[in-house]
Amino acid sequence: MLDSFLIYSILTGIAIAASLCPLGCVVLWRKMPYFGDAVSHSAVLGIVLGLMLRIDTTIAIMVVSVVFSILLISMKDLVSNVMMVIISYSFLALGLFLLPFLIENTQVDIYSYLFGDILLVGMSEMNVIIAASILVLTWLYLRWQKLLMIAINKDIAHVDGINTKRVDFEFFIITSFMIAIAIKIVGVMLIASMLVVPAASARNVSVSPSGMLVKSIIFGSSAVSIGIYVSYLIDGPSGPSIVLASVVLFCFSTFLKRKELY
Amino acid sequence: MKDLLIKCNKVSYKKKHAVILKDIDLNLYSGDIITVIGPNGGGKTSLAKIILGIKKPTSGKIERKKGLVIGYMPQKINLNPMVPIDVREFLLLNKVTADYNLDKIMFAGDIKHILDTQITDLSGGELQRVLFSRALMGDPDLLILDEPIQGLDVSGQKEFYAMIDRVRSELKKSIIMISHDLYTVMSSSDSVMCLNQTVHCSGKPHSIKSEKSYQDLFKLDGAEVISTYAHKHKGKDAR
Repeated sequence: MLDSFLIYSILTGIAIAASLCPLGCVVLWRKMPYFGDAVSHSAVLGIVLGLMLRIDTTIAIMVVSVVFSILLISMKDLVSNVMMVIISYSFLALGLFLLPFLIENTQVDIYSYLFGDILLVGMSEMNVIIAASILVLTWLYLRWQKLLMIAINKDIAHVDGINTKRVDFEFFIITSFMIAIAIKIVGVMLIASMLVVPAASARNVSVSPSGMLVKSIIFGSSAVSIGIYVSYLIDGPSGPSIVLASVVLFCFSTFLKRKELY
Repeated sequence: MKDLLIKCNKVSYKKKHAVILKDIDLNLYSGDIITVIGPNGGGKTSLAKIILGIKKPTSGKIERKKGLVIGYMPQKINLNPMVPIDVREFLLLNKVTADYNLDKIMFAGDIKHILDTQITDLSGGELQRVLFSRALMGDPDLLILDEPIQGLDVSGQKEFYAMIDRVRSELKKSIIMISHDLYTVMSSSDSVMCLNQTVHCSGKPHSIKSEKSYQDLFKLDGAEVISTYAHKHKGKDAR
């Protein structure tokens, strides 16, 4: 019989997958697979600042992520992966630089943030995540066609009267927001893989954008469920087993793919 | 009475310190086809983007007729293979075009048979037809085509020109076409503009090829000056 905490964990994981994986599809469409890494690296600064200033770390991560997004959007070339890496590592380094000052003051296990633990999720956290996921999915629904058009060709989107900057900005903020919420559970190190791997698996077996979105959620929630259950069985860390499960599913999807993509 | 659709008055565009366009004057009237030719890096695409409103001129003024609808076919679409989408969904992908009857644009694009094909599976010619059809949706007054025949073989180019001619004669659209291709310039444009930062020369297609500045301009592209003179059969093609 499954324990109730296990059910909480799996439901929370599915809620995270239901929002992160569709955002991951957009990340792939925009050819910016490093975006998740960049946001999660910069989140380290948010965690450290939050602990130093004794404010809620999720809020601190969100603030830092928003600053990161604004910096990114102010760059001429939004998808400039080089700038993204430079900004994200300066945030990460600043966070780690400030870490010694923090340890003098408090007794915090920073490593729990690096790897996360979905098995420790409680009822209230689960509700927050489900609410956030609904918000993200609503936004995706409202911006769906615009997001697609921008991904296919920004100039045509512009001529069609789409405010590409605004949609970009919203996308960065929403994605940063969702990563900030999910980071406690999946961990800084592995959250980007939740964004990209299920979406990449879904691409292998999809012929329409909406199909890819739905399949990414299926791949993501399967990976979460399998990963959590395995980590429970072997009493191991949940983050890595979720990622490994989603990589196994990705390998499986490559056998079904209709053309060479990667 | 022809309407003035676009009026560029001393339009200049700078990027950092590089001058891309300088003092461009251009008047486009309804029903006209203007071909803009020039060497690579001569500012053709920048001019198109300024007319479209994607870029703002650093100085000078551009006026568009009130309520002007422009259809745009970009130079080459860098298709992201990560987006799985078929032609039908791509064409209907916008509020502007969503309620538009697909059959209405078929005659020009001849794309009925590829509606269910994935965009990433299209050949170069098919993709150009799809992009052209999409530019026509929403019933624009003006079409801006940026290097529409780039990468097509000779028969593909002929097909494409035939399509443009039909659009011109049957739909009475104004067209701004950007091209290196001198054959098109000669056969189907009302006027030609040679662009390399500034307007080197402009005028009727048949008068322009004898202009010294036009010949000089294409020496910049090396061998292209030869192809200019290889096409002396203008008389036969004249309509």
